[in-house]
Amino acid sequence: MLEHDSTLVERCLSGDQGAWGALVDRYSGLVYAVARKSRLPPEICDDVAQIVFATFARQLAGIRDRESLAGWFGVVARREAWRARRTRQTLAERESGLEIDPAEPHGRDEELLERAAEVRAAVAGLTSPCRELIQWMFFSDPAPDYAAVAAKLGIAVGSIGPTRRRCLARLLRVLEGAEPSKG
Amino acid sequence: MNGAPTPSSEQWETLAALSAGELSDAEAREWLRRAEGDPELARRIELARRTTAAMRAIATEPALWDVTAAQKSRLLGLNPVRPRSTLAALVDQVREVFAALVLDSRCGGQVMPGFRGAGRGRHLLYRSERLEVELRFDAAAGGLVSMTGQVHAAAPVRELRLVAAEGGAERVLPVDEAGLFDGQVASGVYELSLALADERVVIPSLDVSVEP
Repeated sequence: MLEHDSTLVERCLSGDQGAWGALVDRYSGLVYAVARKSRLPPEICDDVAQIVFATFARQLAGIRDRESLAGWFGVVARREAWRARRTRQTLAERESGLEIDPAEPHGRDEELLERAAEVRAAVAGLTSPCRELIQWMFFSDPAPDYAAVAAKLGIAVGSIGPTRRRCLARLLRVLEGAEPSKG
Repeated sequence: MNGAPTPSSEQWETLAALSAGELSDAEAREWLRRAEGDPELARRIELARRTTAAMRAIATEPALWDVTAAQKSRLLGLNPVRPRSTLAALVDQVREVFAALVLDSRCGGQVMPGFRGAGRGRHLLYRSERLEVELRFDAAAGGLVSMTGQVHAAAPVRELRLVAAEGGAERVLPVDEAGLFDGQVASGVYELSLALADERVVIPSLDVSVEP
């Protein structure tokens, strides 16, 4: 079942060790995605992730909008990725003597990544077979054919289409907050 | 959520089909026409559209989202909330201090003269005001890490406590009269603590790992 971000933050503040792990599971992918989109090398992406989660740890009690933390993580990750990129550019300019244009912000990518983080969290909170079916059929390119998915799930090929539609509908309901993520 | 009527399961499935491009052109046009006079329906169609767009983004660049166990473990070590054992120690009014890393052979530091052992293991040295802890990590069977070391303190230390950052599992290693200890643990991030009579020395995020 998908636990709301605000619940995880409350649990975290009350000393529940597992809640921090759940928040790391939910948002580390987004933070790394933002850093990688900035074309930073892997070790700098690690640094950015460390800084973002250390900032989150420091500010945890004071974060006002706890309903969805995707926006918070997205903004802070972009800021830290931009700082890292600017630092690298400054060093490169000093070495080369050439002025390099600062990094362009990602624009429309930003909202898409944050939305993707929310979708990933919602899918992770679904139960079988919807969780696996959506991960296999929607998170891979190209998507596997129905026969392969049917074999993995142990259901008839003819059931895949209706199940896929039902699971996607379930996901939409969870994302709207219409129901818990049993599915 | 809002005060508008909740759509039925069938309506959600139709929205799912619409966003996945599975409706006929005529059906899709009809739904979009209805949405023009129904703001709630329009909002849900937009929700479905953004959701499928996000899933396509994930599918197009799945590697963007990969986080390895080691990367996750380091982030877990940033947990601002102390394990309950630490809170209990604070309640008992025992002073708590952090030990600082003085040397990590992985970072290119030279092993100090007289440091026990040699070979391919990883060596670390931590220091607080009243004690020093030498640590050595070697790869052990079954993917475990062999941890050996020595505590140098003016007062005796009887045990070394490890609390995993992930899951909070606790492990206690006895420390002998010479300050020596050893044990095998799973690689990961731990809080290591040593109890003196009136002080608890803590290494908050000890990365127990060796190079493969």
